[in-house]
Amino acid sequence: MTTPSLRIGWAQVDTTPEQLPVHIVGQFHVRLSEGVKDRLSATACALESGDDHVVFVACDLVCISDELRSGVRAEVARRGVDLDPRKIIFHATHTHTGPEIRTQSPLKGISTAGGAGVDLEVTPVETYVAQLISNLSDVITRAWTARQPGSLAYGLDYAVVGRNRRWVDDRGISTMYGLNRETAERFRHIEGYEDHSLNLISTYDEAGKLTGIVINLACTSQEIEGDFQLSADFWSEARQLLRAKHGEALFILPQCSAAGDQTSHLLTEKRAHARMLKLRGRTAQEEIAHRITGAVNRLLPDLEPTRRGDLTLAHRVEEIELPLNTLRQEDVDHALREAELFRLKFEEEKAKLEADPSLREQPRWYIPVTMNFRRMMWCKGVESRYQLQQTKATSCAEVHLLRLGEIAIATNPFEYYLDFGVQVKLRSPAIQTFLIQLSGSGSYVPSLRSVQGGGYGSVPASNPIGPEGGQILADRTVAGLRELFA
Amino acid sequence: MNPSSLKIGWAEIDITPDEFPVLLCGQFHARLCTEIRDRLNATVCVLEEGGEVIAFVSCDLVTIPDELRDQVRARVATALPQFPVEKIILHATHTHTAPVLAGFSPLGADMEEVGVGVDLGSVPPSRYNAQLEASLSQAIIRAWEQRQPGSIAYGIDTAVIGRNRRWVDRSGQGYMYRLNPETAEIFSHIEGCEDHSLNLLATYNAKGDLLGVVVNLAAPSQERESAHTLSADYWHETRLELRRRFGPDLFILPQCSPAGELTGHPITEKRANARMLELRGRDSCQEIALRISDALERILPVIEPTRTSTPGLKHQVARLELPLYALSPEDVTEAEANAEEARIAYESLIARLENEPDLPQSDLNWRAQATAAYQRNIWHQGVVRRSKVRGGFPVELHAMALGEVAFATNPFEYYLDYGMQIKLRSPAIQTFLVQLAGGGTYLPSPRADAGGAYGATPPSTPVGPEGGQLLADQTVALLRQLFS
Repeated sequence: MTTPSLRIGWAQVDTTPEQLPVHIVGQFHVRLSEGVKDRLSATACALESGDDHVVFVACDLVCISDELRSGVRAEVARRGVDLDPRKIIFHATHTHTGPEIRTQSPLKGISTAGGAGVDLEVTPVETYVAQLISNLSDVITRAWTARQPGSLAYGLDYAVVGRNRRWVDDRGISTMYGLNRETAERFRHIEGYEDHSLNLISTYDEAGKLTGIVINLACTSQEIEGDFQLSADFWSEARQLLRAKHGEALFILPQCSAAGDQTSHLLTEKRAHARMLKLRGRTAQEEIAHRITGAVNRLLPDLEPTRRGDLTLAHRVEEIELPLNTLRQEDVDHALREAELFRLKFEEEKAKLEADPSLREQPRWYIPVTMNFRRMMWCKGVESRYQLQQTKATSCAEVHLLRLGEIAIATNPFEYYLDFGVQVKLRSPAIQTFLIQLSGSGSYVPSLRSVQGGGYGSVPASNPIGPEGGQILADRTVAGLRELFA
Repeated sequence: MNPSSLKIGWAEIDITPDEFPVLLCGQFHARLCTEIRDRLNATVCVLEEGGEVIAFVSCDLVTIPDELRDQVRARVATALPQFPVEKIILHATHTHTAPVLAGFSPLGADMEEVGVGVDLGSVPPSRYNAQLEASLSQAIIRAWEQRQPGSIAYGIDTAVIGRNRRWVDRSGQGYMYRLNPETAEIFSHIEGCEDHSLNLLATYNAKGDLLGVVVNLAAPSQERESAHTLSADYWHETRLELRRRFGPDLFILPQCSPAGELTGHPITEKRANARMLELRGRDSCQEIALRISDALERILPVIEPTRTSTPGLKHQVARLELPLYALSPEDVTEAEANAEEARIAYESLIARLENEPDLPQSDLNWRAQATAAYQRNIWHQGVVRRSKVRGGFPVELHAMALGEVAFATNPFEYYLDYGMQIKLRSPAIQTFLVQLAGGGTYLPSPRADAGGAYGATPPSTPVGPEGGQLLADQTVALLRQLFS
């Protein structure tokens, strides 16, 4: 048997929309882009060793829609690139200031797939998706073509970035955010855990020069999530700081570990941290960038001597059937009652616009009407899913499982609650395990304890897949990794 | 300088025992110690402003028995009759490699009286208490007498140190530690959260030179908790590192924020962490020291321009009676059975002494088993004893406002959920909580109580969630009074 020999290729592409405005995605209400705060990008890292390979493609997007993934894979195949398109893993940073990419989605309330309820002058989603398919196919092709013999190293440090955003009150009711002076009196505890581990893979060329880094942490990139300007969120500042330290040519590939219940927003000690930001003259994104960069800077000198180019790479793609979150008729009834309330508000807002067309000249006039329309659609989605369940009991999730020397990598397409991520890491056979969420179209997969408390993110309308499916996914992921390491 | 503006006094004193061997505190089994890995310290910071005064005394000890606190205050009162000794707050880092002390937390057993069930020839704990009483009172007096006009600044950063050591299986059962390849298969989730905030209070002399730092974090100092040598644990390495970076004369006063279920031991990603330590050629105490020092290095330059000599100091002591853990008849029956089981195990081990009288010296395994069985018997008997007590659990609670900053103490290993509640509801911009300003023992959160296991069962917890919530509410109320 010959010693495996690692070949590594990197590329980056600008994915900022060429035609503006676009729909910005991540809130119930529509946001039409009002400019570019910082440019969006996608980074590809191709790894090949022995007979196997993988291409990671990290995207400044809220999620990876099925149509985007299949579109890029088809285009890569059409171009005759010598790789297995199924071994391309797309994953999103979950920036909430990136363009909409879903033309079809079961979550019609929080995507443009269900419409907006009013006519808007905006670049069609399909136009941006076509651009993105071209951009991503280019970056994959370039990374794959650029692969050269190289080596990699890995390590673990800590950066306090992802914070649990769900809390439980004295009645056992959970809430996402919503902590204020009044509600704080009923606060009893943060619902779940936090994971501040920063997992790092660093790659080197044949001369031993650092070429790129994979940064994996349990935090979505949505610090400025309500903004109307396009932005990669804190990864923009992190890229700048890392390149200032390690060279402008450094490739940076962000991965988000299981973090369905995490963001970088603080629930506690907000004033103390806000004061420190002010004293430091930094934004929250800049502070996060400093924390990430600090951890990377601590790690790199320690890892460099351990780099190896003779690593085994084994990559398995699985289609796992997960049980749909079983909805009851009462869930549907409740959702439809809610939908009706939003419909009335939507009709009211729409009537105002029809009575006075000049309202459409006001900035962001569309927010109230689209907010109510989409909340209505979100609630109605429960009924659609209920009807679907009468004929279909499962949903298929594409999951990638990799062994790369001593480390394991496993993906899932969801906003996967941290409890499941901790389980997988704990039971993984690898010394270090990189989990990647949002390698698909997203939606929350809640922990068992979170559905007991309810609240946005852990209610039927949010959860096409429930805790049962989440547990099966964790168990299957562990089983698959164990087979790769057996 | 305004005569009523802030005066600050610091002192540090060596509290390593003068006599050996001593018993170390922190495990069920007796650990007889003859060696010093690193020396133990106590650090005092006295703050005086506008007629108000406070003295923090941070000790490399596992807890602060009430007797120790009272004796120290009595000695200071004798030497400094004008000093309001109820303003002295003693608190422990919770190092598990410091001597056993005489005295007890309320309703607990006096370690001096109880002993360890086997004569190991150790110095009686009361002798170390006497040494401590003299040393601590001397340090407080010195800090008071050396107080000088100065200023303070404060800030917050993060350092990942205190890790949650409790987890829940898929049936809802709680555990402390005990994660292995077999139990990992039934692991559901880490029970609670973690608090990686590092709260810092820096003090400066009249020239603006940094004099000392109060470092407050939610992590007891017990990385070496099973060792048989004396050590301040990670605070030793932290002191070395901070003094290397900020000067050899820097005073360092550690405070442990509510962290009943936290330690420095990660229960997940253990192999990845162990590999990093190996690559870095460090032990976990050195790693923690670097994380703390890095956080201070990030904070100090930023807060220095904000220092003030007139922050405004207010302090209030409250004495509460917390309701005891609500024991059920089943809890008592179970404790009686467990105590009896431990007694039988202990007596069976002791019976071997008749034919093997040198076992306490020759067989460390026997020693550990016999003393652990003895202590477990006492531990379970505590439940039976408490079931007959009427009244509550007396608690001394300190609340303090120092400008925009609040401080509040409690005597327990107070679960983090309560700490987060207080920090969230506190009127201050930044809140320093100090646990183990007393005799300790766990005060579990409702979710820990529901899961059970060590740290959240009746023998561990004289006060239960009801008392824990009352303590949190009372602390918030006191802070609000001070800031109103």
